[in-house]
Amino acid sequence: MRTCTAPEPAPETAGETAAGADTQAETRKRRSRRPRRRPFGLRTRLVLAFLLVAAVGCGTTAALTYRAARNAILEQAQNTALSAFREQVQGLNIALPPSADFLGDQVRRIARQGKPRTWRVYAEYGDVRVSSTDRPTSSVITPELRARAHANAESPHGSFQRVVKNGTPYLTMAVPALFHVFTAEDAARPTGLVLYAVMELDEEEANVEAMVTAARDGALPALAVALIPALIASRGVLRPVRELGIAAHNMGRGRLDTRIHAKGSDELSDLARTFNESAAELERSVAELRRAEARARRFASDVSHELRTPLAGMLAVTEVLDEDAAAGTLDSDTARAVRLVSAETGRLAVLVEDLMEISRFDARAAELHTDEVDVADCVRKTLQNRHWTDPESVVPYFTPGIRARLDPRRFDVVVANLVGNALRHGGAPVTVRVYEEGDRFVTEVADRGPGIHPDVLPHVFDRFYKADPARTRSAGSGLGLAITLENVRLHGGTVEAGNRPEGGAVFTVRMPL
Amino acid sequence: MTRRSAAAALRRRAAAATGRRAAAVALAGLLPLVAACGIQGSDVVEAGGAPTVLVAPNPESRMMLYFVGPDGRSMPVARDVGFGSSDNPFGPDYVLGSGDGHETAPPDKALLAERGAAGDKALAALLAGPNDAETAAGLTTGLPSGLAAPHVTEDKPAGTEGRRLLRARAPFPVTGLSETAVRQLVCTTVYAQDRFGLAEVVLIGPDGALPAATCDDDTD
Repeated sequence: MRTCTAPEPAPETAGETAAGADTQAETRKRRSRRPRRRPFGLRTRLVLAFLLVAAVGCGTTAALTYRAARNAILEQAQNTALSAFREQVQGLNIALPPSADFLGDQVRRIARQGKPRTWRVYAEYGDVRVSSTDRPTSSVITPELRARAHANAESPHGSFQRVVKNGTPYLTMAVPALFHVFTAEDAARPTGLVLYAVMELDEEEANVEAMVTAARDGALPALAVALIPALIASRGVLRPVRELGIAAHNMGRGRLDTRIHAKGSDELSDLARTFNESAAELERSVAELRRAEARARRFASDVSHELRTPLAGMLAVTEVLDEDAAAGTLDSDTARAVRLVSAETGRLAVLVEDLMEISRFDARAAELHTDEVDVADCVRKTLQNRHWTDPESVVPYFTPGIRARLDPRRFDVVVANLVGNALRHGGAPVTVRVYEEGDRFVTEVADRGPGIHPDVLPHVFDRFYKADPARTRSAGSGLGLAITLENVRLHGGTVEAGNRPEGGAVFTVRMPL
Repeated sequence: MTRRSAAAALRRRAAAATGRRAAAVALAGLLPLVAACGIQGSDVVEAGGAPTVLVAPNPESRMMLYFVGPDGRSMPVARDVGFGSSDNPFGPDYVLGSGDGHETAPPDKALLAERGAAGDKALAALLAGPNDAETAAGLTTGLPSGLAAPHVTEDKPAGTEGRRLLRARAPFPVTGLSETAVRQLVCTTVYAQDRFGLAEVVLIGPDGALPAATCDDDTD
């Protein structure tokens, strides 16, 4: 049934915008599916932790090894040098006081015999300063070493000290020369002669440097190698986590049959199994609920179908009885009863029709037969067909020339329901406006009645909702606004109920052009 | 929603802070190991005994005198007296002091007398002061010049701890002598008389006696 006509080629814009929205939604979906790169995600943290542990391990091992080896190198050099020095001095045969020339010869001889390398040897006795070099004293020998060599006359010791001067490490040694006053069995007494030897530790330093290089060259590849297990471990943790995330996301989008492939016996696979069990349970519960809902809907649909056939017969009978009552062939009481029965039967028929309509919506069996129409024409025809042409009761304000693609029958139902409701529950005059708003057109039905109570507003589109519980009977089926809502939704539009500030209810329908 | 994300951000920040703290602690623990790179200087370390040297001439033909080094320490010098020679034990520069009567001593007492005489000779040489070579080496004496040598005798009752007790009777006052001068006298006496250097020496002058001293108590 077409109440209004004049189809025109469909405007391209609607299709385009719809396609644009589609691609937008698609990209959003894809973006949310892809694992995001996070600067401090689990992977980065795992890898950093691995590297840190490896670095600490490598560093500690290298440092400890290095220290031990360095000390061993130094100790060996020191011990060799000191014992060799002592040995060289041991064989000396001197006069007291020693002559400088003789001492010089001896000192140069000792310097040549230095172990592990040649030394610079200095001898001091009283004011006599003799050395194997061109300078009589060394600036490397510290006052502490000098004091130690002279001190402790009862049990004199050889002593050494490492000195770093101008970045070069030196080993300085001091041995006080003792003598036996009479024979070798006597206690040795200091002669007052002290010999010093200075040896550069550059070779030892080179060895130590080589060890540092070796430790570094060993530690860096170890760190690089540590990166591999770090990546593997992070992968092992991250893959199940990502799978779980995707599965949870899918489930949130309604795909309740989502399951995770759970293998192994670690905590993550336990979590996956728990997830699978929860998903199965959820799926079962939802299926049960859906079955129950479907049963309830089918019941309503079946009932209305069953009622329709007897009602058709009853309607035919009441028509005849109505004619009789109108003709005055019945006595007045019977005529009143007949009219009552006839009216109620009519209401029952409307109710059954509405129920069947809403059942079709619930079963998603409602079809949209769209056509390109002039909206103002449609609304005008609806009002004419219902005989709402009295300007006292219905005031139309139509913007002419609005063309939209819609199902004329369903749009007719929407407008008739809203205007009928306004006339029935609100107060005349009812204003019907039709205008364009962006890519939609608006149909607005406003009355001058008392308006809708704010508590009721959220429920006006509910089925069989009674605004006033005391008023159990009303002229409508109780399904009118619910059917209106479903019809508007079918068109992809919205319907809102509200109150105007100056009083009266207003229903606003927005539908795409 | 915003509150939850804010809480998550806070938690994340806290976790990051904890991680940073742990890393800092690990690095701080590692730092001292790394910092001690290369060869560092060290304190003076005593290692092993001191070597002994031979001092010429040999013990039989020398006497040990103790002078004072440039740093105030007493330092030994060895002077050649010639083997068995008694003519000129101190070299041509030195005049012998009086009181050596060993030529007339009987043979069995010769050794003892020799010892006593050696002490006297050594003390005489000490009082004469350092010779040219010794002065050149920076040695000085704390004793006044021109003093006569003391006479050394041994007391039979031994000193403390079984040491020998030597008495050096000086013809000059001893109580006014400096510590280094006393030490020079004591050490020279001890090493002239006692091969172990353990004897105690009592210096006796006309003005009184000093307490018994050994050459060991080198305090400096």
